[in-house]
Amino acid sequence: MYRCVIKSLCSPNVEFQKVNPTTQVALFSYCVNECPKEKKFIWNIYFGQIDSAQNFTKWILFDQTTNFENIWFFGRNTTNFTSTNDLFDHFRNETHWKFEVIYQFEGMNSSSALNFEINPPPSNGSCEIYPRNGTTKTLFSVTCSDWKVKEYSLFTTTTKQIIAFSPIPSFEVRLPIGNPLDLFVEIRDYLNAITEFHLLPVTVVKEEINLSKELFSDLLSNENQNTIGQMIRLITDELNQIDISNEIPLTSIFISPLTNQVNIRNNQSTRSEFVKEINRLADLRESFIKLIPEMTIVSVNSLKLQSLSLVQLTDTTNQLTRTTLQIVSQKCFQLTEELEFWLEKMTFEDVQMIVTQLLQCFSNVLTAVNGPLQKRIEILDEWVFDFQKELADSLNEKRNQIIFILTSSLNLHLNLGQNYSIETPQVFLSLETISLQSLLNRMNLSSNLNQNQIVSFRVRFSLFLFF
Amino acid sequence: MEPLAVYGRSLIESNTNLSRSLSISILDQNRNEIPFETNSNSIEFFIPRDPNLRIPPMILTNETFHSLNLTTDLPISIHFEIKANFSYRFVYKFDKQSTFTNSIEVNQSYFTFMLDNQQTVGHRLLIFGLEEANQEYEYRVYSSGCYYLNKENEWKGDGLRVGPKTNLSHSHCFSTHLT
Repeated sequence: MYRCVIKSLCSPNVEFQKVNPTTQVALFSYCVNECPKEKKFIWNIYFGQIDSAQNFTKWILFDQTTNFENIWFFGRNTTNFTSTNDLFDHFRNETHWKFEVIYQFEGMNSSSALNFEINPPPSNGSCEIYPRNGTTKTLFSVTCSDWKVKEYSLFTTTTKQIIAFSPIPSFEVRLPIGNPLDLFVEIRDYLNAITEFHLLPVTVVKEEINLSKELFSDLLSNENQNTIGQMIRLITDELNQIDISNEIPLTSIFISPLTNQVNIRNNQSTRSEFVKEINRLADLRESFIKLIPEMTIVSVNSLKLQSLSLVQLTDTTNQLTRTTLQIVSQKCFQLTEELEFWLEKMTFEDVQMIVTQLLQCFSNVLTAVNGPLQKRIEILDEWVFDFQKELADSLNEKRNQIIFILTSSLNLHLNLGQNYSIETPQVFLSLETISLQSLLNRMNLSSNLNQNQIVSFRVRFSLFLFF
Repeated sequence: MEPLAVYGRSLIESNTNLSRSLSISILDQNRNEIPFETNSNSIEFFIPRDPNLRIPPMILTNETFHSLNLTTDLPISIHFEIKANFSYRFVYKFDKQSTFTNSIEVNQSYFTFMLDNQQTVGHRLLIFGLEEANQEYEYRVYSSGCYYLNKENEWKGDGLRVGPKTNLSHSHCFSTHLT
């Protein structure tokens, strides 16, 4: 017997399971009764030619399986088999596939197979955005024709950040600064097949806002998750003082990121002014964060949007007060638990984005709490060593649990021979599923454990030891 | 918890923002970490420095000798760069040694030399210089270190050696363990 590793991605359709050509297929097989000990596995792939007149499918062996072993196909001689979406992508004309596993033991063969029918991604629709120019406060309308799907979501093209999601084909959004700003709508059907529809570029310029507590409560009074997410971006862009000149102002001097060089504006203000300014912004940020309401997770995209908001809120690590850190770390932790809950309903691509954003959030929180203790970040006026130390200890304690959950979430999708890495300004994480034997050989290490076992090799590189 | 980069205690100016950390784990199928050991050879790795480091220019001088206080709690390596248009003898000694016990004949215009963290350990003072130099030359000295955090959250340097490929953009480390 066998089934899909991610159940929701294979849905029964009598003879054929529906499968998405936009993501990988991971299958595992198991014996109904006890398996004989001496056994070998081999997975074969067939594509089908349907004779509709006779209602008959002729299966033809896909003869390049060996050539693409460990490129498109992983775990071909094990119980778990993965085919990346490259197979479906390169053979788009083939709509029917069969994956067969053969067990060989004591001169006998036993086989089992699962038939798949490609679930075509949504097509025959369009989306547009209006107006084409505006400011950071302008409400833009995104209007799609009715694609008859589960959800529409809007992303920035270059940074792949979610802006909004909606079950209905028309929605309004506030956009980040960009000239031009490239956006696409992700159209997701009920079986998680995805089509990306690219919009014509728009121009969004900055409109000044006066940050105040009154403004915050006004902006966050709306109950819509999208609106709240967009408000968080609008406010944090202002607090982080991001502008498009590519220069980072003195207010964001903190532990510098792993990637891209930071140009620090010189002779902008004296040190005391700088300290005063970050304290002012830290206070504002705290009062803003206190007003953000609790939001439920209604879909995978909602998890993407909320985790992104947390990255934006914590991006400037020298402006996070203890209260801010407590609130935000709690939210990051809640979302990590939600991730576990939604895991069985997500594609690998969904997991990648959410794990990346949660990693960034935790990295920011831990940098912010440990930074002043290690004399690597400016100390805020509210500083009390004992309180900071206490908070740091409690957050550091959670670190292993968080890394465990995030690592496991990715590992679920990584079959023998597969690897995946995350590269962000805050943290680099690489994961690889490999046999212990080949890893030890490669690294010139030794271990007295079973060399045949399959392990996960993790490399983490960070700004900070605590993450 | 100790500061990672030693702040304001060393004569060699240390910028506290320059550190990075690397962690390597092998996890079994239950995602528990598996212990492993190195074979006869150490594990070699590079840790880049913060790209925002502003490298201080080399110092022009005609003084023969220079002294460095090695008053950090953690072992550091010391790296020398010297530009000179003449031949000289590079000499160094530790602490209160009366004579220069170590010397190197140099007749190249750009000379680099390092003392790794195991050579400097236990010493408080390093004096180095260019014997027979009575002309101007340029020099720059910087330090590096490779550390791990033990279970008590203390930075330690045992089992870690700073390697010869260390330069101004990265630290080269050898480790006999992955703690």
